[in-house]
Amino acid sequence: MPEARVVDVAEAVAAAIAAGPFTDPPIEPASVERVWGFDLEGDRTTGLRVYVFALAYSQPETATRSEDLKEHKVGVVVAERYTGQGEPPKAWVDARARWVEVNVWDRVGDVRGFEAAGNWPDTGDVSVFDPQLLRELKVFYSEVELAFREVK
Amino acid sequence: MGAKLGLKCVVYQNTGSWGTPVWAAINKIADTTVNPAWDEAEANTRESLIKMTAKTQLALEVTGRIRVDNTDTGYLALRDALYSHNPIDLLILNGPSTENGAHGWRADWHVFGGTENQSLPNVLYMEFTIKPAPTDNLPKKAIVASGSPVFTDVA
Repeated sequence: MPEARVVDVAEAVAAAIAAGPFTDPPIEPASVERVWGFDLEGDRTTGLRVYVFALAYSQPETATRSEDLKEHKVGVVVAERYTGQGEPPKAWVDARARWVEVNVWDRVGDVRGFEAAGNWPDTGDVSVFDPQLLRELKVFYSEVELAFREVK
Repeated sequence: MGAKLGLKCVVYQNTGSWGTPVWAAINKIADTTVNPAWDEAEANTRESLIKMTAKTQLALEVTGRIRVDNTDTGYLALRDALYSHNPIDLLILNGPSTENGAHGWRADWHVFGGTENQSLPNVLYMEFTIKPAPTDNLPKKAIVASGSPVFTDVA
């Protein structure tokens, strides 16, 4: 059964992130998956996890008499629980922030080199981390929201 | 009847001959503006103090935008006509060619302009300007009757 177009786009984003390589910094993710939800507080598993999900879609304008400009928004959450003693060290957080930039933002936000199911990356926003989650749960949590567009 | 939409207007390319046309819709067209405008000549006499104006010749210009697609035959036909002296036989209607009452123009057109704004965030379009070309096939009015376009001279 065909998926919703926005799900196709989210799947392509998840596949591109999962393909790696993960050398900068050298942190292999424990999982990269397209999901409809996740349990950040209850999940005690360790390792860096990537959740990709469909957010929204719209039609900003008609493109031609036979085609529309369509926009598909995809969210990416990168989360990892710090398992060491005490507060997460600055270098540990720095490495995760770098991981998001290189392996999510640069990879699937690259309008010159990436297409998700025929959609080009148009705009994006990154929330680098959540101070409350880092302080209270010792979880690094970063959100990336990307808008992809196609004429179809 | 509901409002007529620009979205439903159609530009057709003739892939047959002038006498036996085969109309193919150019689907990558985004917008068209049809601009018929009569030239005017003063026609005053001593019979009246009111100025009178005669219609002389009809200037017919159509401007529009088409999405750049190097695999689309309609776009390529317009682009090739822009880059040559060869006219292109187009039927420009304000509705489908099967909708009775839809009307417009048919001519061998020269493509005079092909502006392409290549700004960073843009989907590429070619903005074109076309005008009737001097060929053996004179420009015609077109109106759809009994499910197909009928062509007549402007008189």
